[in-house]
Amino acid sequence: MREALMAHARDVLTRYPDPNSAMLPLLYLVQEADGWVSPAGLEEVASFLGVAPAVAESVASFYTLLQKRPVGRYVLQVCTNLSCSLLGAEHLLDHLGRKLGIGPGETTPDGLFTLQSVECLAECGQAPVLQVNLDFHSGLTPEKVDALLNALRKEAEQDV
Amino acid sequence: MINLTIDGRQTSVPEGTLVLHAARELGIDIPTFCHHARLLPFGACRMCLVEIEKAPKLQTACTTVVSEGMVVRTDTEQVRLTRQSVLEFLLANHPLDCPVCDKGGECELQDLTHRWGAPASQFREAKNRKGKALPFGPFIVMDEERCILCQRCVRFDQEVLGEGGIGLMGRGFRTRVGTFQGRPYDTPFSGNVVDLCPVGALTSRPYRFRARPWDLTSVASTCLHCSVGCAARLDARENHWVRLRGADDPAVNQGWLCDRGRYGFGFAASPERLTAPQLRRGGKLAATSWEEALDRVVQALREAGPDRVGIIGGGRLTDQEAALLHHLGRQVLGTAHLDRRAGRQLTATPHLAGGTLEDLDRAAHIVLIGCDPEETAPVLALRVRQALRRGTPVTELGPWQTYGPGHAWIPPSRWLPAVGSTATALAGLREELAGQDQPVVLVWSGEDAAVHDELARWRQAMPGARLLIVGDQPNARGAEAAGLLPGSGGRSTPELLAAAAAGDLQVLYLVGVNPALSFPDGALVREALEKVPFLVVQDLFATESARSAHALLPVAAWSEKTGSWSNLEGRHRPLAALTPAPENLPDDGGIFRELIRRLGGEVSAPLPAPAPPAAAAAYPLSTPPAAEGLRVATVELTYSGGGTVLHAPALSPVLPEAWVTLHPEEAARRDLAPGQVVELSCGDSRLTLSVRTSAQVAPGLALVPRRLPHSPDNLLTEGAAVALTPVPRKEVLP
Amino acid sequence: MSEPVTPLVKGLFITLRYLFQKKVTVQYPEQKRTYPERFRGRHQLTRHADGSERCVGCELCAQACPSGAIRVVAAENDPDHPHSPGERYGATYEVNMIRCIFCGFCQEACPTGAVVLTPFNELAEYRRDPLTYEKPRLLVPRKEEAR
Repeated sequence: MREALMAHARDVLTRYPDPNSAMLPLLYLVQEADGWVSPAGLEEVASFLGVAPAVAESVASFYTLLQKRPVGRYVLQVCTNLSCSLLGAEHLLDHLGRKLGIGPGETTPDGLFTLQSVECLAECGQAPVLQVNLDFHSGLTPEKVDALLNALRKEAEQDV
Repeated sequence: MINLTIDGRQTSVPEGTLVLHAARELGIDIPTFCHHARLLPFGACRMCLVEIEKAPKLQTACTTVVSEGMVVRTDTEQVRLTRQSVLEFLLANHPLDCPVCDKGGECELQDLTHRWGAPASQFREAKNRKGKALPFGPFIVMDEERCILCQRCVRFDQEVLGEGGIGLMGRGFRTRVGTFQGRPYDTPFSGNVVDLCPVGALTSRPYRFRARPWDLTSVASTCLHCSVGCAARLDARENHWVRLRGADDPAVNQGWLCDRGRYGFGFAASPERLTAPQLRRGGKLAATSWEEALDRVVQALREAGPDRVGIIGGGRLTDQEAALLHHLGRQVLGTAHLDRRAGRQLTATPHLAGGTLEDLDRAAHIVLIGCDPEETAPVLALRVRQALRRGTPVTELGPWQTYGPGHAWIPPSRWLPAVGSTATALAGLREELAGQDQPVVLVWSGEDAAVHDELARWRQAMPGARLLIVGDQPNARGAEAAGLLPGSGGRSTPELLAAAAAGDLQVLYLVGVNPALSFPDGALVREALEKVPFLVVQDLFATESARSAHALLPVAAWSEKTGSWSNLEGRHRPLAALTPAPENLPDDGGIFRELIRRLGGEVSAPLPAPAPPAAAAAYPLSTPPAAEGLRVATVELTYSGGGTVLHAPALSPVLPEAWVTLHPEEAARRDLAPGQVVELSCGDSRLTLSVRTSAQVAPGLALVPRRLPHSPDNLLTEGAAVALTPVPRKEVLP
Repeated sequence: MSEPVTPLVKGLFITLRYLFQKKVTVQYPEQKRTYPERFRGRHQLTRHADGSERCVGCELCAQACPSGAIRVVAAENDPDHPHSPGERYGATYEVNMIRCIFCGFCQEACPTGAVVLTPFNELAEYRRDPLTYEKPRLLVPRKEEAR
């Protein structure tokens, strides 16, 4: 594992009585460093914890916050679980797909947006819900989503 | 004891018993999928939900432990409806392709659906599609749509193998069982997941579409591939052996099998099998009648006289056949030159207290001496793995380390005097452990006379010591008990071969052994087989040793005969005939009987008891002179050998390549990279091998696999210095 | 007329009546009867509309057969040249017509509608072995082959 990461990882390990409990924090570390959790990253974490790589993949594949493929700058995760779907999450997903010209699981050619449908984001009271990276947006309508996209585009332009 | 009531019936069971087991003891059946007797309680499938008084909801019987005064109901309407709904959910995305599924007819999902399921499903939606017929390792086919995610395979891999090679991938209805990045599931125990799978998700490639369960005739028998003696069920369709499955013998294999045992059965139907006796005429072997072949053998045996006859073999016979061979040799022919040994192993019978496989579970310390059970006795190795996970110290003494860094390894060898011999290391360990009254289990390959002598001292030092000898022949122990070792004045295998090479032997009779591949001194054995005036080979295949045979006697395979044999514990193992032998093929015992009759002997029952065998250590193997540089060490592999492994088509994807493993430092010093092809030369012999590196090989050694027909290790002298020369890559023409 | 004669005359009258009715016998083999469509005669292995074989080699017909007349051995389809849709097909299919009692259970058991009993019933042979029908004889030829 890379040196800086290594030091951090060793520190993470001290916080848990069972080293296997450090699996998720270590996977996040790798994602922070690489932008996603690559197979090589999974192997790194597994060998660091002394478990088989399949165990790391099994954990990583469960969590939608861990990206198993390279993603764009903004990952738009739309909840399509029951409450959100009842309140139009599917239409929202379609709307976003049309706006961005991509389907769920895909990334725009400019590398700005990745669209994903995910399971419950624990905000059923404010459904439908969408998460941009770690920011939460609830009670959405197509108009609100358009405004959000414009804001994100602007933010990206300013950074350039 | 805990008292509880199940369906109105009082019972009392030991504390810690699961409700499921308490019910089953009363004969009350609770349906399950994820539960398995050899795996830990899990509670994934929800099939075993039962009513327990005072519990707000139904509870899983397979994870709930009994408590005093508990009242359980399994026969209520709510339980029945729950079972029906659980099945409805399990079948929601199940393809119901039972007619084309290998599991159809012996499927737990099918059986329980017939017993508890609803007549029709309420789901009208399209079924979830997943991968079909995906390769899942060399022997297994995966159908993800049929999987009910009970995780038996995942738990077996984690709890029994301790490997973690399979896991649940993904989430929700997309969840599937998979390996890391879809790589092949390549453990040598992979076939067990097929036995465990309650549905047709994991099926065996060699059995794929070969038969349906109702076509099969089955026998309970044992696997005769190695000395562990795993209980097995053999299945045949129309007299063709199509499958071998594990059976649960708690003291031996607990239901598990290795892939060699499970998938190595194809040899019995191999077109390479010998079908008729052959005699050498005018320099060529030609098929003949049994009458003529046996007459010729009898004539040769008579002409030679007792002192110029030698018999090698017997470790692949049943106990009954071994007794007949002993009778033929000692009483009828009157020769003392009998030896079951054909390789490096001196003895299969422990002279200090013989251990059992279950001793490994109780051991306070396990010592592996020059022996890699993972390769030579895989199912025994499962108990060693369990012990390692319990924290039992395991010390390995040998030129390579099996159980990875973190465990004790003393890398000695007869061939590395600088490090000290195995016997010296063992003596050191004896002093360290002496006085301890904890049981110590020693697992030994049965090689190296110095270790044999050292182990004699262990008996005095440690009454708790137990010895298991992992043999190279499955019934080596039974053969030794039958007296197939040289009698007083008798010649051992090396002496017999030396006598043959020197022209002092008239007839050499090989019974189910292939010394040309297994005997360590390749030059001697080749010369001996070439020079002996009359060589009789009795085997399934025309082996390397049969090339210069004068008489070749084909025999029935172990799946075609009934009898018993003894595993490495000396435990009685039954053998039952699954299919009749091909026409005109007697079993080994039949040939011995006929030879005894023709030689004027008598087969009286019971046969006279064998004379006590001479000291097993009398087995002189040449020791090479001390030398500098790299020395050869050899290692037995699971798939080493000619005969049964080579001719089992299912095993062809896993047959080992010829390699030489070096310590990384040794490779670096010689500027060799893994994968590079080198020529290994030792005296006049040369082998072309590909380089592997591993820190688990002692520095100073070149580790070469044993008994590979395409790269015979016995051309090299073990312990001798070798040179490695890189072979330039040949230009491959397009 | 006296008592014993009446039944005799009645009987002869019935005979006489049938003499002028349409004959029930046919001059087989010059003349042949047409059988009802659902007559259970010789087996046939059918194909899907796309020409692939329906039989998947599941052996349910063999299992259902009360006289043990059917033998099926399945095999795996070559994905590039499949015999049937899916992974499995019936590589060997034999019906022993001597044993067969033409009960039609095989047809009933077949999950894909592959084996059907046709009205054809002229199965006589001089030897026994041709009476074991193998797959090439049972399988309906492909349309292009039939032409």
